[in-house]
Amino acid sequence: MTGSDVGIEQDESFMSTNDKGRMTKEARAAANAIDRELVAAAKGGDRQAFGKLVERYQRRVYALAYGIVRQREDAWDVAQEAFVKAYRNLARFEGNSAFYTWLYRIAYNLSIDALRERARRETVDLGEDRKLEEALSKSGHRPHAHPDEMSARRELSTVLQRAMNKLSEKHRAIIVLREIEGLSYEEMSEVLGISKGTVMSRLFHARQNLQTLLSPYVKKGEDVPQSLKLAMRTA
Amino acid sequence: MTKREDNDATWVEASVEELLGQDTHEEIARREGEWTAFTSAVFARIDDEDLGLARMPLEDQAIDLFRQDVAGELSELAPRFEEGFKEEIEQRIWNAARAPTLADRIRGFFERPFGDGIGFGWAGAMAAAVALVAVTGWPTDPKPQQIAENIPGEVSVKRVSFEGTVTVMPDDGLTVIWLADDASS
Repeated sequence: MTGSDVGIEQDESFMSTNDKGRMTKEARAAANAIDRELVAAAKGGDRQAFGKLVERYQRRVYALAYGIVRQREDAWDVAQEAFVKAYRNLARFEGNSAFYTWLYRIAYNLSIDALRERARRETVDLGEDRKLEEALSKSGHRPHAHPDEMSARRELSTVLQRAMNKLSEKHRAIIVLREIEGLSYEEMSEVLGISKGTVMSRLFHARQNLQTLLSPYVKKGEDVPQSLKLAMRTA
Repeated sequence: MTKREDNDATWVEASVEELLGQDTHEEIARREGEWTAFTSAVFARIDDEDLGLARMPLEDQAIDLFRQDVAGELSELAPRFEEGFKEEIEQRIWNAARAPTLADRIRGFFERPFGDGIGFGWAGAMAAAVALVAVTGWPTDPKPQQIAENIPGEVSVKRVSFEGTVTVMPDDGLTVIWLADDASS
């Protein structure tokens, strides 16, 4: 089979999502079957098949990289490098796991490398950090009201992004894999190469840290950080 | 995002999942129109690498391929180093500390009552004694304590007497005390 033989009609199953915008189990199984065919063709030297794999996953891989490195151009570079690495190591992929978890693992490792590299070459903007610290340490203090809901949501989003930046790379990655990519514990275990128990514990601590960082905004009564809700007063 | 009314104000609520998801969707949308270029860029990188490799001398090509292979292997193993490696080392140290030494095992063997159901008896004890001799060696020196007394650098003072002339000669941090013949006893 060549890459062009994988019909676009089949490919549409890939986009079948549930109400949270995530792939359903059936859609994922269908996507895995197509991936297997494309991988087999790409292993045989079919560049078009690999091109299809790139097209199928470029947005997701970019989203993962962006979620972890939090910088557009770095994320763009990491995402491309992830596919190059995948291409180079395709022979190594035995199909014991789904292609996308294998690809995510490559992207995850590269994202962590990129973060560490950036940390080495950049000086931290301490002023910005201090401002954030001050804003977030005022526990119990509700931020000022905002004129409209849109700007309130914007500010919540900004505050969340800043809090995400303050998380450790591992905690940030696990939040991204869970909350953005919607991976199951098993899938996260495959991507991160850790046990399911470690995934659960790391996710718990990551959410707990996020909750602490966002304490002025956390909705009252959110004791267990399972699905953290933030709240902001509008005018 | 939901809206809720309190007594005195309106609150906007959103889950972390929702906010992060929305942020990502917006970023993906900002990139719309660039995805074809993305795929081309991936292949361009692959081709550049291939071209660079083809231009290398054969020896360098082999080294580069080997380096890539090692990097791939390390990348696969990276999570194991991160999670299991330290624990495994700690477990090994713990096990090694708990494992009885040969001397402990021999001592334990003799402390156990012979013939306690494992079919050894005195024949077993003799065999163990022979094994112990084989391991530790037969005590051939009748006065092992004397060896310690003769080790160079160690001094054993039996008796001190100041009955005669004493000459003290400090030299290089070492103090030598000469006792005249008539003073030593």
